[in-house]
Amino acid sequence: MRTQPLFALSLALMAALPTAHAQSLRLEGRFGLKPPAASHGESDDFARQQRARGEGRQARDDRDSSTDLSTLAKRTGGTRTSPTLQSWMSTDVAGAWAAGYKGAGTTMLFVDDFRSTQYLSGNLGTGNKVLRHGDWTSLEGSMIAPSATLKKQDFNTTSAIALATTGLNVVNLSYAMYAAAGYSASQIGWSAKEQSIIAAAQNGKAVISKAAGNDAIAVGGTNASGKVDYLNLALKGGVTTLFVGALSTNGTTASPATLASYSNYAGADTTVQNQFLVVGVEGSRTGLYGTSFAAPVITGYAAILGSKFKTATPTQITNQLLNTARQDTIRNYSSAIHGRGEASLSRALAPVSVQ
Amino acid sequence: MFKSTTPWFKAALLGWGLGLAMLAGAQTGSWHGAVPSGLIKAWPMASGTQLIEFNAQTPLSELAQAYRVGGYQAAGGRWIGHDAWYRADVPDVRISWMTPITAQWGLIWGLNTGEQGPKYTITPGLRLGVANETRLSPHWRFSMRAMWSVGSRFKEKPCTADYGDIGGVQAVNCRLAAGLLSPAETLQYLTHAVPHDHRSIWLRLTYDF
Repeated sequence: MRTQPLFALSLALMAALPTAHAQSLRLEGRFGLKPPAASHGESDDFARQQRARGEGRQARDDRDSSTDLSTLAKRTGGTRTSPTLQSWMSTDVAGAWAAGYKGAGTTMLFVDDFRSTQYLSGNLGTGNKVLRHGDWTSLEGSMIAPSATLKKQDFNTTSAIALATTGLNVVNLSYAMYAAAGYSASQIGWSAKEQSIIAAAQNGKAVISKAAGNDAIAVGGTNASGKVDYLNLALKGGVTTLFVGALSTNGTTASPATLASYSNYAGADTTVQNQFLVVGVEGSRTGLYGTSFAAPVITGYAAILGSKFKTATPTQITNQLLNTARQDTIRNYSSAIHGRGEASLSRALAPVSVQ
Repeated sequence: MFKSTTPWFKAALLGWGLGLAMLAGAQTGSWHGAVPSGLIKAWPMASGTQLIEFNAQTPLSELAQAYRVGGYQAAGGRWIGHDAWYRADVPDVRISWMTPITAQWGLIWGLNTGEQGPKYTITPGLRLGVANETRLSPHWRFSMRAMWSVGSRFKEKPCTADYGDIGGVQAVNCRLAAGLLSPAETLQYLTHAVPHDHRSIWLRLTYDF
């Protein structure tokens, strides 16, 4: 009870200081560009971001809160009907597409930065582009599930998320909600947006694909700045929550992958371990690093699963991704690091047995 | 009645590309192309009827063979190959004969024996047709053959797939069970095929010099 005023104060601060709020929200995205120390220097990364922001001022100001894929395709030069396996994608995707891609009938909602003036440069195989963080994550997801309906909601809005009334809903959260350590998730004064997201995870209304974070700590832990991603804490234990960490590459049995140096990991909490997946984030090919770009892969996988198993519930889709994750494509697999393992789309689509 | 050694009859055999299987080792192979007259003479039947085709690998049997390639991993990682589903102990065999009716006309008749694997069936069938050759001049010949098949259908059978909690047990196209299509949609792609030559007309104009 004594702590309640503190929480009220915390809420008031977040409401009265929108800049600070936005800054905390952007933390994940900004870290999303942080390259592994082994491959890129910090100064180079900073210079690249500066260039990206400068070029970004020339970019179109896109304030669409919702768009279908054809709109995105026009914007990015892609097409809706001819998906292409990109070098950064797991070969799993090619295997799935070989039978004729679908993805239709599902909705992917990306809650992300679609309005700021911060831009990131990268290349997802359709040429070098300078886009906002949210446009990158949504583009990535839509390239994996090309026929899924794509919706966007800026993460600075406070209104509740609107889920589609038919078909599977998948919500991509490539951002964090940081605040000083010391509180529980229930003590945070969530906006209607986060409340609706957390409720969707708890009630199984939508698959929630949440970027694990880029602090190289256990999910739910305190980072070097003394802050905690309370959205992670609030989503923990949700029946449709998937925390997504990043491997440095797509793993194979011949060449097992390792966790990216920046990626948060599952940690000792078995609840987190049981809802933690990893996927390859091949930043060396795309210029885009971070678990921000791991979550959209799972978002796309979930949408594809939803198009195949049209009557499956979000909980069933979530469990299918968890239950079919692979451990043999990860070097020195550990549930405390990699959770359930590397997501495998081909295995998730496949039957347990056929006669 | 014409004799099997008449030039037009040999030419028709060459042009049609009908195969005579070697007596030995003809399990899966077929012989297309030029047919030595000596072999033709080796298969005379009553009233000048000639064996003109013995094909131990019919087009439909080749289709089943193509389906044997490939497979996919089950949800648990076990490899599920297609090979056993589309393999038969006894292959479909097509045999055709030609019975001369006049000097210009002949009756083609034959059958295929059918084939059965765990996930497909090729039904037995009959083949009927007529052949004609008309000499237009000392150098020009016009040849015609019309044939059609009755029966001889390739029918693919569905599998029963267990998708666990997410999809339950469903009938599915065996080859597409691990693909993106919903299990019910894959059934639309079960193969029901007839031979590509189940109705055919063949025309040929030949100049001899």
